[in-house]
Amino acid sequence: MNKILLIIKREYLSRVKKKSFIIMTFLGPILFAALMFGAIAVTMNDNSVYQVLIVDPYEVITQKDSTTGAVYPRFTNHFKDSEKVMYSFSRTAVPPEAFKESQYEVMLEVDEATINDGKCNFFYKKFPGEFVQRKMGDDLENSLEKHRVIDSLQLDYEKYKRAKVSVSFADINVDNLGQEDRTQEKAFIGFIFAILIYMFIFMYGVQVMRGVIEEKTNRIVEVIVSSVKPFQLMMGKVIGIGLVGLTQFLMWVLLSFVVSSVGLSFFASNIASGAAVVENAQVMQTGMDQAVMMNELMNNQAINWFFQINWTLMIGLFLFYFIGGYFLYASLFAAIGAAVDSETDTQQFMAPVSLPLVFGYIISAMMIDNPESWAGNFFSVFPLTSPVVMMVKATVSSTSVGMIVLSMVILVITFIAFIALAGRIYRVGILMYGKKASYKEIWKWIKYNP
Amino acid sequence: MSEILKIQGVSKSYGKHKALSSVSLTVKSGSVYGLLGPNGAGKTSLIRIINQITAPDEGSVLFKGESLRPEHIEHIGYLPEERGLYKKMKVGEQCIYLAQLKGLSKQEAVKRLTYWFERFDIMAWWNKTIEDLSKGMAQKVQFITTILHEPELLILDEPFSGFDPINAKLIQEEMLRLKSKGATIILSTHDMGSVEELCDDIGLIDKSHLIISGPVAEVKARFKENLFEVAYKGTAMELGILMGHQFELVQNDVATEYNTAKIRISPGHNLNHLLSAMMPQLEIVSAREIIPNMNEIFIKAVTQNQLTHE
Repeated sequence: MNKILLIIKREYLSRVKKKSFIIMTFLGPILFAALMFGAIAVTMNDNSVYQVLIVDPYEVITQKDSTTGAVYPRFTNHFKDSEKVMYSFSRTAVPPEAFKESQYEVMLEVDEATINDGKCNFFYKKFPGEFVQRKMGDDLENSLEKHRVIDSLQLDYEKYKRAKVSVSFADINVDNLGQEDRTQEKAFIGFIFAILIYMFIFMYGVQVMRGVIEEKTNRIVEVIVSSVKPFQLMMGKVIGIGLVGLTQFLMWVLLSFVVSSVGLSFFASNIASGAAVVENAQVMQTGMDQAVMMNELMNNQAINWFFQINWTLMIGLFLFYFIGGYFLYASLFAAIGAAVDSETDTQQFMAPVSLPLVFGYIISAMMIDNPESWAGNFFSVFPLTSPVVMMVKATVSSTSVGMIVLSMVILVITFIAFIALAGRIYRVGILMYGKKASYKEIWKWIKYNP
Repeated sequence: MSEILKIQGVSKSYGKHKALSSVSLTVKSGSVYGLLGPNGAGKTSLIRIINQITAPDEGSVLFKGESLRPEHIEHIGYLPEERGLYKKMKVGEQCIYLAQLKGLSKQEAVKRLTYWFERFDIMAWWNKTIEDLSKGMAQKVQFITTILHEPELLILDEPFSGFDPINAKLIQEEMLRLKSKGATIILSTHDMGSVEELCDDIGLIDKSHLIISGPVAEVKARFKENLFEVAYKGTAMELGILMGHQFELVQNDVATEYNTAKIRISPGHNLNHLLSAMMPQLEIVSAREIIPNMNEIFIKAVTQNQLTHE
């Protein structure tokens, strides 16, 4: 058998057989799904009700029943009680100490600042979640608006409402008429791929580095390089570990698919039954309910952009940029591993190598807001950042095929050059013990005749 | 006896550091060649060149009359001084892997490993990981991986370090057995005792130069100083009278039963002359020539070399 294949096989099998790999592979998607569905389940099942006291000493949004003395909303369309929020009203100020003793969880105080600028203090004993905050905010905002229109401007509210316009954008690329693009949402999906690539390159690049350091500190490297060329050893390691990464990714995709379909069918049956209780008979219907739900999802304007994404292209690009980016960075990590004697010495070399990768990550996060920026264009072609940045850039429909191909070609040329360079550092470095490598020293290694 | 390895004018530099300066030596087939020298003299550089880990800047290396080629690797076994194994890998699996890298098929590797593991009585270790073994045990495994592909040329760098005397003896016996079966061994060591015991020829490298080489007996003869040790009964004064320009008393140890003197005989004279001069006055108990051991030769040669370079 070819020697490089033997090395790949050992690197691959010794890692895939490890308990930590098996646990991560199976637990990863389950944990991920559990986290996602867990969060949904928690918000769905959060039954706590907030008692909210609205204090309105300026008497702008409340009215008082003259006979009973009860205070209630002036605009009865707002401040309606819901499952999560129960409102009470007071026209006299309540000091914080009194609020503390009361049964209320939250107290909103409509003071002068609120009336003039919309600034409102709320006191809480139990911090209200996003949903409760939004409901309180909406109710207060609308009530104050009505107060201003009617009391200050003396206008007819219905007429005012008719004059109000709210603008919503639908982005349509001129080259792709007939459908809404949803560029930002797509860019966000691209960003998730970018995070995956970033994570995988780091995780497995560092594994390559550790593997090289292990062989070097173990001194087994001297035995092995008397049988194979150092370059073969390095490439065997890089390829073997890369395959481990791909295996893990494919397993995650597969498992995520299985887990999420199970999860989805569970939720579909929950929603379809309309109640929390799932009858036995309804479990039989789950499959159908799921199909109905998927259909609904696809017809839903808010979400159909998700199905417009060319997933085959995205996965193809992911694989290409993962492999390309991995080769580029893993060869550098291998060279670092060869240059040092222990992992603690890697710091000075790790920083400049990981910097472009981290930078690429930041650029791609920024591109969700502005996918057409010059930085996005440049760094999706620049080989040290393209594996991460291009994943976001490619989701924008104005990105040309030519640009993607250019980025790919540059990446391939660069990683070949980096592998060659790393190979020169590696073959000298792995046999140097106890010598502290400096950049100057490494430059000498690159120029050495083997 | 044919030559298995011929090194001709090999030089190697790392940047400004000269590791080998025009080194030439020959290793005879079926012999044990002692490669000696202080730390950092250039031995490891030479060994790495023979193993094709690095290439010489100048000069050539012939293996069985041919210029070194990658295929020759399968006929060479190398036990480096800096050695180790994958700690988390199982012993058997690891040995098979290393044997495959040397070109053996898996079946052949298993067959030979079984033989050696039984011979060394370590079959129980097959499924253990290296971290479960002691240092000496791991060394044994390493020795097996070095010789498993039955190399014609074995290069052993400090093979006895890490072994207790019993296991060191075992390894030494295995070396001699391999030699008797036709293998050639290059032994690099600082243990001069084992050099005297095992080596047919030696080469001493210091500061990148080969400063001594040749058969052990010849090298020793070259370093003889015409010193003799004579045990005698009589007084030191009686002996002193006999000394002159032809005999020089270097040392005289007085004891109750008899005295022992170290005497240097000047060129043109021999032990017979000395004894003839002594016998009428003193009673001779024993006499022998003092031949320097490898340790003394090593120190003397290296010190001299360093003086000439300063």
